[in-house]
Amino acid sequence: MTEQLPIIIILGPLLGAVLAAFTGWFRPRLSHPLVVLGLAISFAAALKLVFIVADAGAQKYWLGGWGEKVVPGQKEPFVVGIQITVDYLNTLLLVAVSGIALLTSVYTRRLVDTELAGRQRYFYALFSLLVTGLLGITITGDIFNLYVFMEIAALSSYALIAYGRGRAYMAAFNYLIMGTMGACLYLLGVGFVFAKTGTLNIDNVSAIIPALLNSGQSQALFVGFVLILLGAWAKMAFFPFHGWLPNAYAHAPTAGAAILAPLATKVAVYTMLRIMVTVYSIEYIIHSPGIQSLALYLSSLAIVIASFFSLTQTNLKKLASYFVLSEIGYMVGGAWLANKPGLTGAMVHVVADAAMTSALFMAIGCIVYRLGQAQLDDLKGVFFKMPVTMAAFVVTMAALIGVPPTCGFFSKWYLIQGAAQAGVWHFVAALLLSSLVKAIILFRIIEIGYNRVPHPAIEGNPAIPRNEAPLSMLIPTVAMALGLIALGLGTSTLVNTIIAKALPAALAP
Amino acid sequence: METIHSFTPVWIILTSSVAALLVALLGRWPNVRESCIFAAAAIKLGLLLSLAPAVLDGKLYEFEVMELLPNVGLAFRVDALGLMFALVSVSLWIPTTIFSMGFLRPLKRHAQTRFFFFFAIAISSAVGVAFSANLLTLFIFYEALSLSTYPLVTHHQDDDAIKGGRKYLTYLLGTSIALALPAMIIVYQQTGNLDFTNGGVFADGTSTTLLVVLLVMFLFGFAKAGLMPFHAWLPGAMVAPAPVSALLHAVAVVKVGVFSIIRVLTGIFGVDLLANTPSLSTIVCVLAAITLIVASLIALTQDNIKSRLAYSTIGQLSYIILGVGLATKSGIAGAALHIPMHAFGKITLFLCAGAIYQACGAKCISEIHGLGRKLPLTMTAFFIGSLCVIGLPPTGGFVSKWYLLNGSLDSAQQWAFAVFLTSSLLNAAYFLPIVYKAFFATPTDPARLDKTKEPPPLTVVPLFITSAGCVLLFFFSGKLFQFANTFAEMYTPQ
Repeated sequence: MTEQLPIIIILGPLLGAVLAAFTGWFRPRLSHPLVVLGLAISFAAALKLVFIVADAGAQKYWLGGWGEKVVPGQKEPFVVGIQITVDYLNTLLLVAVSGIALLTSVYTRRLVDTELAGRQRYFYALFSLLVTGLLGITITGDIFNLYVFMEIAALSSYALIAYGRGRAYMAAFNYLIMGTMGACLYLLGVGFVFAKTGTLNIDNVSAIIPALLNSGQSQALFVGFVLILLGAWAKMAFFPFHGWLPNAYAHAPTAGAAILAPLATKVAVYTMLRIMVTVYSIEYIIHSPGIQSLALYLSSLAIVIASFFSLTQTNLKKLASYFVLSEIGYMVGGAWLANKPGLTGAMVHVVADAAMTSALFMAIGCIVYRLGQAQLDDLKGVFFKMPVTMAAFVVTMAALIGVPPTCGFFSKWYLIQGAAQAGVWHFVAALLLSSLVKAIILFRIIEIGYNRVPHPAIEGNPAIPRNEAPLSMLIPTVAMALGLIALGLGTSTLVNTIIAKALPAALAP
Repeated sequence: METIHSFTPVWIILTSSVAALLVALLGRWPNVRESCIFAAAAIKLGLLLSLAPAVLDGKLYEFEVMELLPNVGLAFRVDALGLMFALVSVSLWIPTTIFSMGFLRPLKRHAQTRFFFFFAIAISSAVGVAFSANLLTLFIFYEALSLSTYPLVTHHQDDDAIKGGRKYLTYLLGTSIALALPAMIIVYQQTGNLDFTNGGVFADGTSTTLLVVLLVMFLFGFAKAGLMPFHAWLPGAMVAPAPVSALLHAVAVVKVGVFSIIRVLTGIFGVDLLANTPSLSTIVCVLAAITLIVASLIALTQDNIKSRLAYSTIGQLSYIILGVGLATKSGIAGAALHIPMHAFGKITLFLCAGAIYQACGAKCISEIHGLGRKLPLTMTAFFIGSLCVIGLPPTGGFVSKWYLLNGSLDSAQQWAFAVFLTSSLLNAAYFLPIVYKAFFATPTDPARLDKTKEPPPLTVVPLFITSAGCVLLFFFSGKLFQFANTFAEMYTPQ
């Protein structure tokens, strides 16, 4: 049974999506529980696999039994069919994606009932399909198969965003243009790699590439690498390909943003890490210094510009979208530091940021559900109306700022350590600036939401009635916020047992 | 050094957090709520005293809760300095709570439960800083203290409070994130070690430039110590209610800043390194000396009582930093001793300022002419408190300043002797006129004076306790000196 676990991770949400769309015709009420069930199965499988991987190393699975074949003259056995792999690099992200998707699916029910009344089953089918795509990208061991899952995820997210009101169509269209370009660039890059290596399997490609590079045939591989990189950057909204993201997430239905914002960009970052660390090798990254310094400068710029824009926002959802953009800069920069603490930081931050963004958008969703809008000026007295939600919000913002002992502190610690080791001081400055900006925004919100109203406990002041979000939304939000602290305290364990082993052995300590 | 593995330090930190939870739950019954605080403070004090004999013997209590980063954990270690600081904070928590009850209840202040809740959390954080075994643990509690005191600073929730709170966070969070955090990470990246180690963590031959940069980042990064030019948050924080200014902005918060700097200088850099690298020692001494003199001069110009006290605090904190910067045994002992001595003196002054405000609504020195005749108890306490801060016998402040002066003569920075003396004269110049005016000047506003009478016992009793403390510390300074000396001996080369 355990050898089937990797495929169960994908099958859960895939079957959930199909069944939700199908049963929706005659039993609309069944769609939501079916999706939740599929995600729960997927999460359980992913969780079990973490322990298996930590004990026994990478788990490989050949779809349809099309396994390995030994070719005379080749050292490595050649993989004929599609392989899916759970290894040290992706096992934590699988848990994060399926876990966050599970919590979010529970969380979104009330939101969807109000925002998308009558269209619930389509929403849940798309939701589940999106998660299938994201899990597929993360788990696959085949660079073409990765493209297929990338499109599954992208198409369902275009539709999810277009479900929003107002300018959502335009935002979805912009995203579609950028997303399609990114996917095309990626596919083109895969074409170059395939032309030189004759295989799409990641294990095989990574075994063949060093020999090709040594024999001087690096031109085509370099072009392929750059194309794949640009594709991943467009998908993750890395500066300067970021223009589509704030509008897309701000105009998407709140329930859609709650699943897209934490996961979609993080999975794209994972794609980049996968290509950098296992498909190509880290020596390759270190020996292409032109791209390295460019990527680091762009990361710092991404952080600084996103921080600057977040200061000028008046809408909570848009503000949060700019946070997503600056966090992308953290991860890309950390990966391109190409040293041990830098890569560790990037890998920890992929998981940590998925959790932080999820908690942030959940809290914002609760506020929107009760207040109907998310302008900063509308938040007056929100701390009295929704104390529990706002407590979760404050914890989440503390994690984003990097206050210990939340997870944001530790990932940032590794990133700064890596930057100090590499002597990239502009990246250190950008990281610190971003923390400060987020602190300013948190206290601006506290001032508006708490201090700027007459305190209701004083006699003569108007009472502010409690109006907390419904429990089905509140419990996932609080659980996620508490998870940030637990994740922070567990960082050391995760790094020692899993992430340290995902780092390429060739790295200097 | 002998170490004792014990969970007690964690219990000590947790008692006030538990008290905070009980305060939050029992907010509806004020008397029950406040009894929880007294119970917690008493338990805490008892536990602290139970550690004292072994610590004075040169032993250390240690406990590591969990690992956070390779080689760095959430870990506690109780040494003489930490124990002394914790004892001071917790023992002053009791009179301050009595005072808070007397101060907040008659004025029918809102959100008293919130006030006592965050107060207890702040005490937990301060003791957490005192017991930290490494820089990371210290940083965690340092930040917790900044965040938990913000609601206390903005307690009044009016425009002034919001402005003061904004300044408070900008300075404290800003410097700690932008300076102390990267400095700490660079130390970790260079040495792989953040434990406070006798002799410092740096390997021989670390470049002096790097050390200087790190030193400056730490000195300014722990802005709670109020080194100029990062001092402006403290006068801004005076918008807080009087008990907050008294315990937090004369004792817990500001002393945590100085304490962090002492830990960095003795445990990360090491006294050896300071003494043998003239540039390091000089930087510390010069920055502290400038703050010392300038803050005292500014204090002379302040008419608002609390802001004069705030600038006085800024100056007195630099005594401690200067004392450690001297890198001599008596300098360090004097600096350590100045923590409790100044704490008792300054808390008395702040409580008096609160009592004066409560009695007649006066906030400025120009308003209190002749008040001494109406408030003899309060103003006598004020007089004793100012003697202690100036450093005159028979108060504790004399003892610590004595050792500081000794330390400056032993060191390479003998000019510090003149700085200490000049500053003490300035201290006298800004405190004694207040006392003089209160007792002997002609009243400016006789109508107000007629309505004034001595505030209720809940307000006056704490004044009596702390001012008696100032005097007792002079006669029984030996016990405290043992703490300071144990610490100084542990960290200075024999």
